[in-house]
Amino acid sequence: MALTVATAGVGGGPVGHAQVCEDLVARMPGSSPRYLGAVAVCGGIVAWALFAWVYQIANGFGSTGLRRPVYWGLYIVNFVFWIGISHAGTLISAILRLTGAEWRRPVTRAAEAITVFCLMIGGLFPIIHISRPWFFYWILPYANERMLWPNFRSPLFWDLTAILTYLTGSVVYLYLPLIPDFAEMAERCTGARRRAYRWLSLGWRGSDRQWQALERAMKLMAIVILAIAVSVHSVVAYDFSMSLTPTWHNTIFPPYFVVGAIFSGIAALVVVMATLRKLMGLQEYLREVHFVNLGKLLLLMSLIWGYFTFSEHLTTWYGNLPTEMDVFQAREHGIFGALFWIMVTCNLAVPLVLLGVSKLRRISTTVACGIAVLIGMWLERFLIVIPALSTPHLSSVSGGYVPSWIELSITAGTFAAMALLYLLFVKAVPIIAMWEYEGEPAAR
Amino acid sequence: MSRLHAEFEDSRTAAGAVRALIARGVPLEAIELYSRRPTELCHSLLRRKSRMSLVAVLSAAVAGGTATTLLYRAQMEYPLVTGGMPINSGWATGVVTFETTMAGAVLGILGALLWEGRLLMRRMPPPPPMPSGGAVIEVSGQDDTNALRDLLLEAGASSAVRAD
Repeated sequence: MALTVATAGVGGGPVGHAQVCEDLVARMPGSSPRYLGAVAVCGGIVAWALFAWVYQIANGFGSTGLRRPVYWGLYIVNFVFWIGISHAGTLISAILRLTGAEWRRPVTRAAEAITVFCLMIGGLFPIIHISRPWFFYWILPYANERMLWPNFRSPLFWDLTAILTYLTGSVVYLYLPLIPDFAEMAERCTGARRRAYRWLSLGWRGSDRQWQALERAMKLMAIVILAIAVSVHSVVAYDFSMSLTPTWHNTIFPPYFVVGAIFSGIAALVVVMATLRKLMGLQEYLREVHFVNLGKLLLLMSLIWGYFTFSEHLTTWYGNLPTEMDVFQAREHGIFGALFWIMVTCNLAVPLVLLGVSKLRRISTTVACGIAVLIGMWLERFLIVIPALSTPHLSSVSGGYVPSWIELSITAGTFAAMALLYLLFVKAVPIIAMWEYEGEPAAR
Repeated sequence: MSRLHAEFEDSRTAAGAVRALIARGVPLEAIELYSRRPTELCHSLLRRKSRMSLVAVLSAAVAGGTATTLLYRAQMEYPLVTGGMPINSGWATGVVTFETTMAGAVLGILGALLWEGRLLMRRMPPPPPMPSGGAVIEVSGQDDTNALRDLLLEAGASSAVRAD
């Protein structure tokens, strides 16, 4: 499946560095009523989610839908989902950078920003989930007066180190290619904005020494971030596979989670790119070739995801252990059956039809697939977490899970937070790396 | 210190000028090239020594080693009840070792970039004004500036001026 190479002159976009910079800066949103309205709507939903969180803190965890035996509900579903999507950026950007895929240039910054924002959002869920967030610092390894250290063998501690490392790496990986653009922006602004951009550009002068150091650093970071990204979602999978809960104690989980993460990450990138293209008028930069290429990657990941899902279910079915089969049956034919088949349709059938047939492969179909995969992957996380806990293993302990308005509000709030962070980001920074983007010579 | 700035309208011509300067015996340290976009041709001519990979590996080793040592000490001196499992195990602490090693590599790369790129240095002379599409070659610390100016003009510079 060869990826199409973006050919010069196809897009009809601006030519030359100065024109590209001018054009991209001009497309950054101003303080229009439309922009402010979008910020207000997203901010309002985030504020509502914060209120829900405060309500939960004030009234205790009993105000949520979490009940024995389902102690992990939407919070953990969302945690896995957002951490998964965070693989959009660094992983995709790093792979494309290392393989020298030239068509990546208008795509990478949007992807890298997704990573940082998703990690910020995903990392909040364990803090929300512990219900008493002021005790969060107990998991930090510091010598305290009680001489009580965290349990270093706990996957939750591994989560902390993995997510902190990934967040640090992702921020650096996003920031490095921003440095020359900050210097460029400083020249184009005045007043406080100029000072801020100049400060952020760290004294960038555009010397060959600096370009060489930057390119070297980007290459090394791409290698390091790939290893970190794979490890992070493996660690998230360990949260499940280290427990003895039926269907969770599974060696396939780490690679299965990594595959799912890349899959949902590409889907998120497609949706974000389509939104930016529409709202910021980036049709000349984010062209059909970019969506078609990402669509092919999405199709590939869909097939790999299908293979992993089949393998996971086949081994469970073949083992025929009663406790595992209870969960298996509940997930496929029981109360979760409808969700399971919607997941399979969204993650496998829709991409196969819309992206497998080359005549159907267009921007609109790729975006439709992206949305379907995001829904499917959220359901996948839900179907991993909830059925395994709600299926009774002891006759004395049984119960289902219905999320309360608090969990639903916080879930909605995280999607709004993602949109809000992106709105603020595109106002401050050109969404396409100006120094990396080459104009289209034939479009002159 | 004498400085000579020569402006070029495209990076290919600038690369030719760099080649001419090197052929004349101007040391690489005296030549600097400024541009708004990276210039691949000049990168290969002005390839500078870098220790970024070494710094990344060393800082990774230091961070991973330190974290593993701290983990070991904490686990041995304040042992938890482990239900018969060993107090300290490479399997269980391996994840933390890996993550801190990678964190060390990230910070090492960032530090090396700041050092090698001479970023965050306040006492640097201001960069020459740069054309939007081309490049500016700066030759510093050379005595024969007039001859070098002629050479740069011959190599295709649109202008070449002393900037002391």
